[in-house]
Amino acid sequence: MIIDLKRCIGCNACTVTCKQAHGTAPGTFWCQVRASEEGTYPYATKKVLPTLCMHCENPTCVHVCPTGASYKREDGIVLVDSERCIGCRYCMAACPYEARTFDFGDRSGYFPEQEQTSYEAMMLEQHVKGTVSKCTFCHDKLEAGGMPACAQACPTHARVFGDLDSEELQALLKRGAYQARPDMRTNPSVYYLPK
Amino acid sequence: MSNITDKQSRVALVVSLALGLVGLAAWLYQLSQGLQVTGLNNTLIWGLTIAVFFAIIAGGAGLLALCGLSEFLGFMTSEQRSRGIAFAIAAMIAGGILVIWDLGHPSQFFYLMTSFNFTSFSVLDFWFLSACIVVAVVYLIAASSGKPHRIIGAVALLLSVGIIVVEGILLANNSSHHLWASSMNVISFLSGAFLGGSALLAAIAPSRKRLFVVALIISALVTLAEVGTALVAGTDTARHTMQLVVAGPFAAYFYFQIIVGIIVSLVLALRTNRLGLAALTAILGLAAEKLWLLLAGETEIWGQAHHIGPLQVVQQFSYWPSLVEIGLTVGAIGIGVFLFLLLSRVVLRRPAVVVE
Ligand code: SF4
Ligand code: SF4
Repeated sequence: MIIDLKRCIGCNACTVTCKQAHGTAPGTFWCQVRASEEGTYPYATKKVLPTLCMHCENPTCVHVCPTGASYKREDGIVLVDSERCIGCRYCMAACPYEARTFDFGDRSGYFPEQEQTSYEAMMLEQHVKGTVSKCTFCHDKLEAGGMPACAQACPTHARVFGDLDSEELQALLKRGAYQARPDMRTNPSVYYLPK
Repeated sequence: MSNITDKQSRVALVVSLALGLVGLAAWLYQLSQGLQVTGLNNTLIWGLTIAVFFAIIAGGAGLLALCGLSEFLGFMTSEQRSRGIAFAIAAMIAGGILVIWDLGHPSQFFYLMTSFNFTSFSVLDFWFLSACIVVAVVYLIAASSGKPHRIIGAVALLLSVGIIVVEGILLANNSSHHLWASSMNVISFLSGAFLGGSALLAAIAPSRKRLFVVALIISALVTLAEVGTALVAGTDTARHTMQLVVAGPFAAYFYFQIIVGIIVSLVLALRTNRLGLAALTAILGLAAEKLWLLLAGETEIWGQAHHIGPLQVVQQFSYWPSLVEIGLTVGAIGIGVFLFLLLSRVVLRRPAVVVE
């Protein structure tokens, strides 16, 4: 995936669509837009950084996982098998991108004053309390020929998903694309184009 | 140090068992509710229980190492050695229980035992700890005969040092956390084990008080070197992280370590002969040290990910253990004390503490 920071307007459509697609619990964000402030008044600007699991080629989360619950598929997608995860959170400490979240067991739903909606209840059932989860690159959608929900929902096409070796993505990479924290030697599959 | 009577020993057994049951109840409650009943979140992922785990293992492994070393240097009587090994076994089992109680999904723990993924220092930690406990049990049985056992003592010494090094690297290999990835980390873990081991040794063998005092001074120096280097000569990130420790949300734990863990322990050891209490304050200080180390290191990634400075990090985070975490910790310690008293009665056939 390539994320063009020039195009991103920080609208959080990706954040919301990810939560809709995966029905994650409150407080769990597989995909989000991190906002910070740069400069000082009157020249202060808002800086936005869309993030997700980088699906690293050399994933530290996989190396440290004691149970084999975190694993990398042949196609490079890094996943968590919740049936093997013991919830030790070592992978969360090891990931340099804070891409993982722990399920603390809060099932109060988005509107605690009312019961969970049937959609919430159905989706939350798929998440295992006490385990770690993260972005799956919507692998089920990919297998059906689609693309990740965040890339599909982005109104400015800031998130471009595809084969990094393809002509289209190679052309984009040549526009100064960079990876986050290259010093970590994780070789992320997600690149950023500078603002 | 006075003799503990049989009645006092029985009271201690009952109290420690009751504390163990409190821990068990806290764990069952946590299992039913999830870790939302702790003070942790997606950034502060390890708190009191893991800090105390590190401190208890440091004490247990440090004491076992000293028992092994004494086979060669002769600074413990065979009685003291047996007691030391029993104490070390109890501490390491209590540490093991505590780390299992900290897991989100312990029913799948079996996969840790069968994965043999030795790139994970958790797996290495598990096998080293298991090996340490097994060797210590064999050592205890052998040592109860009163004869020297140099080979098994040497094995126990090596495994004990090994587990401390593994735990130091377990944190240090999270290279995105500068605070943990520092080369000081393993040194700090080793000096912590020396402190924990010699504190427990002084409680068992008061004549070894000097070793405990030396360990307290070394531990203070290592901590000050760690903190001072980061503040004066560190990178921006290292300095900002250390500011969280000395003047930010985790300062309470840092000053607790310095005041209670070092100064109070030193005063108790030098000015009074209350070595049991001094050992307790030293180990509490050790746990406080591990706590600030964990918490400050954990916030680093958040700050980097959000491209913000330490001021905003300070506004974002604070950590106070919940009642459930306190219950878990007290419970595991209770189980450790119970095991020690039981081992003293069953294997050593004597009350828990003897006159020097
Ligand atoms: S971003 Fe983090 S969780 Fe994702 S593959 Fe890389 S190390 Fe693992
Ligand atoms: S929390 Fe789960 S996925 Fe992460 S390291 Fe532990 S067992 Fe592996």
